Amino acid sequence: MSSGGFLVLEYKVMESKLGNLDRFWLRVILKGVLFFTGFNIFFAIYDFDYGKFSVYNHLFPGRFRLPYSDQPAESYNVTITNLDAMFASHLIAGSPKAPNEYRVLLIGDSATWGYLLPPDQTLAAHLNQANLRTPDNKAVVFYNLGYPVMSLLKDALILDRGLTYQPDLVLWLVTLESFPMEKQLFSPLLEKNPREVIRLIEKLSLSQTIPPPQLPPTTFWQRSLFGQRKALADWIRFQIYGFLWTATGVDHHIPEQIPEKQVDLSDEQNYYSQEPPNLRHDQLAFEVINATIRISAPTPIILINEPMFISSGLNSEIRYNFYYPRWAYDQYRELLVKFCQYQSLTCWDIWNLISPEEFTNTAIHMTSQGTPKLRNGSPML
Amino acid sequence: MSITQVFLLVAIAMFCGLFKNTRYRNLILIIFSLLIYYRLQPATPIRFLDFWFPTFAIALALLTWIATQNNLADSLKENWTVLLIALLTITTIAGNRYLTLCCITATRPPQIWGVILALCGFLILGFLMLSKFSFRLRLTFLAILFIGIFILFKTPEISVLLSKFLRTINQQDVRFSSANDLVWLGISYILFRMLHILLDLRANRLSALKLADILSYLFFFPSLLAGPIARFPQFQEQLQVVPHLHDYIAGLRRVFLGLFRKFVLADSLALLALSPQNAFQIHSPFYLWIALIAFSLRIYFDFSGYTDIALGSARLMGIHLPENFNAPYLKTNLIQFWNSWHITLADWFRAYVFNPLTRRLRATVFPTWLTILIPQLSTMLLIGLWHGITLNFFFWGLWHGLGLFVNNRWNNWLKTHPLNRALFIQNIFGWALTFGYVTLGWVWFLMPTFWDAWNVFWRLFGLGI
Repeated sequence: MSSGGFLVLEYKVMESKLGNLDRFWLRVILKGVLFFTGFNIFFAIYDFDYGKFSVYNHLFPGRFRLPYSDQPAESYNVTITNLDAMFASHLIAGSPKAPNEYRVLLIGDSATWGYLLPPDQTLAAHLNQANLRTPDNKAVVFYNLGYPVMSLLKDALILDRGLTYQPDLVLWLVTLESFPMEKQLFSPLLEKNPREVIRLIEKLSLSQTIPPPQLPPTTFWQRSLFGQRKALADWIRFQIYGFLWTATGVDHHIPEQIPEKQVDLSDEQNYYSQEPPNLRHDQLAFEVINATIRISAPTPIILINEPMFISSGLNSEIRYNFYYPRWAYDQYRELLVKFCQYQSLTCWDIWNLISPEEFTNTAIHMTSQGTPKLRNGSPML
Repeated sequence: MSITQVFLLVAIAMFCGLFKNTRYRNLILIIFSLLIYYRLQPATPIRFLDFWFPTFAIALALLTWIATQNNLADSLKENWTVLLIALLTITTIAGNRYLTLCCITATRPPQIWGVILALCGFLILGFLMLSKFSFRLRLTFLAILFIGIFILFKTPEISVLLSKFLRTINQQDVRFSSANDLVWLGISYILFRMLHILLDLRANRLSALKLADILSYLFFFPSLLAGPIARFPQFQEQLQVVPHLHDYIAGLRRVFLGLFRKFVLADSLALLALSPQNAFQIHSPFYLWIALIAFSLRIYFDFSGYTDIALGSARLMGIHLPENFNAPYLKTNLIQFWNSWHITLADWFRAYVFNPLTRRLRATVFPTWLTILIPQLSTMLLIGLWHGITLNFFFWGLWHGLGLFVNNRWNNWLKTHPLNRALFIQNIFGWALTFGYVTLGWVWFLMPTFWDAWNVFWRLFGLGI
C-alpha cells in the first residue's frame, strides 16, 4: 500500500471513531488549513498590496495628518509604514481637487505634523482657518503632510507621493536637524520602504550623495500572509480606529503633564561628526532639496527654516538649544541663504519668530498658542 | 493572558490528560495549578506581593481543609503526600530566590525563612482552631474571614489603607499607595469556591474532604482567571474521569473557539468600544451608542472567550466544567438573560442568597411582590458588589435587580392578557428591550464614578451635562 493510501486509511479509521459533529469540525479545520495555505501563497506570489484599500474617505472621513502614534490606544491611531495605506487614510486622498481650489501641501517634521497638538491646532489647520483666497479668488486649502521624523529624504519621499494630488504650492518646513547626511536614511518609514527609497534616490539622481540602501532579501515566507502578520495587524487596527477617529476627532494623545523642554544645556560643541569652527556643506543634504525641487517642477516650493526654541539657560552662550551648538546653527542659516539665492528659491527664515515660552517638550514643538503666531508671522499672510 | 500563554496552558492540560491513573494525574494537576497560579499572578508595586498573594491563597486552602477535618491525625495519614507537595511547591518557589532557575514568580521571592515562618503560623492557627473551636464555629469563623478578605480587597478605599500599611512595613513610599497595588489574581473566584465548600459542609451537603480535591478544585488552572465556579461535588466526580479521543477534539475545538472570541472578536471590538477615556471625547449620541454596543459585545466575547479556553483546556483532561454562557444576548427577557450570563456565579447566588431568602420571606407576612423584590434586589446587589464594592457596581446591581422585578411582574400580568398569544411581537420587542437594557446597564459597570456614568447616560439620549 502506498503511503497516500495509508493516510486515507488512517483518516477513515479516525473518521469512523468520530461523531457527526466531530466530522463537521474536522472538515472545517481541513478547509481552514487549505484556505490559510491558499491565502499565504496568494500573498507571497502576487505581493498583494492591501494598503490601497481603506475605510478612510469612504466609511470614515479622511484623517487630517498622516498616521503616527506613540500610544495607539489613547490616540486611536497607529504608526503604519505602508505608504499606500498612509496616503489612503489622509484627507487629501478623498478630496478631488476642485477647480476653484488652490492646493498647498505642507511637508516637514513633527513640528509640521503637530506633535502634542490636536489635529485642529496644527499649522495647516490654522492656515485653513484663515480662509485665504488667491488674487484670482481661489480658495487656498492646506494639507498637512508632515511626519514626525527629521530627514529631508523622508520629506522628499512624502512629497513625491503628494505630487500626485496636484498641489499648486509646497511649503517645506526644515531645520538643521533634518540635514545631516547620516540621518537621511535613519527612519523606520524609510527602512520599511526600501524599494520606494531606492526608486526615489534613482529618481532624484542622488545615488552619489546618498548610497541607496540594500534591498533586503525577502523569502517566500516573509512575503506570505503569516510573514506580514504584524504589518497587517497594524493596518487592520488602524482601519478599526477609524470609528473612534470619526467619533472623537482625536488622533494624537496629549498627556496632561507635558515634559518640559531642556533649558539648561550641555557644553558640547560638536554637531554630529562635525567639529567647530566650520560646518561642512557636503555633510548636509542640500542636494536632496535641490533634486526634489527639480522633480516637483513646475509646482513651486517655498523653503521655511522653522522656528526653534532659543534657550537662556546654562551654557546657552554655547548652544541655542538641545539640538544645536550656536556656531553650527549660525553657519547653517548662512548656507541656507546662499543656497536659496543660488537656486532662486523662495525661502523664509523665521527661526526666531516664536518666543521661548511657546515651545513644549522639544526645541521645535510649539504650543497651541505658538502655532497661530507662526501662521500670523508667515510672510504668506 | 497572551496567546502564547494559552498555548502553554493547553500543552500542560494535554500533558496532564496523558496520565490515565487519576491519582497521579491529580497530583500532577495540583503541582501545575500551583505553579501556574504563581506564574500568572502579576507583579505589584509592593515588594513580594506577587509571591505572598498566591501563598496566602494556598495557606487559606490548607486552613479550610484543616478546619473541615474531625480527626486530623487520620486525615494527615491519608493526605500527607498532597500536603507535602503543596508545602514543597511553596518553599521551592521561595527557594528560587537563591537559585533563580526560571521565571516562576514575576519578581524575586522573599527570604525563605520568612515563608517557612508564615506557613508554620498558618498551620498552627489551623491546629489551634481545630482544638479550640467546634466544627460549626470553625466553618463560621472561616466564612467570616473569607468575606472579610473579600471586602478588604474589593473596596477601593479600604484597599488604599491596606496598601499604605503594606508599603509602610515594606519601607516603601506611602504617597504612591493605590487600590491598584493589590491585584490578587482570581481571588474572587477562589474565595467564592471556598465559601461554597464551607456553606455546603455546614448544611451537611458535603462530607469529609480530601486535600487533593480541595486544592484541585480551588486552583484548577484552566478556571483560575475567569471561572467558571464549578460545584465541588461535580468537580470531584470529574477528577476521576480520563480523557478520550473525542475529549481532545472537543477540547481543542473549544479552545480555538475561545481564542477566536477573545483575540479576534473581543480585542477588535475593544478598539472601538466605549471606555472611561473616550466616553467624554465622543461628541454625538449616535457614536456613543455604537461604542456602548461595541463594549457590550466586547465584554461578552472577552469573558465567554476565556470561558471557552477554560472549558476546552479542562476537557483535554477529560474534565467537564459547567457552562457559563448560553447565548445571553439572544434572550428575550432579563430573567432568561440572567439564566444564561455568568451562569455559575448566578447559580452560586441563587443557591446561597436568593433561594434561602425567598423561603424565609415567604414564611412571613410580607406581600407577594415584596417577597419577590427583596430577594431579587439583594441577589443582584450582591452580584454587583462581587465585581467590586463601589457605588457604580451597586447601581449596576440595582439596575438589574429592578429590571428582574419588573420582568417578573410583567410576566405575571401577561399570563392573563391577550398579548400573551402574540409571541412573535413579544420576542422581537423582548429581545430589543433586553439587549438595550443590559447594554445601558454596562454604563454603570464601565465608568469609574457615579457622576461619570450619570453624565454618559444623559449624553446617550442627547442631553449633554
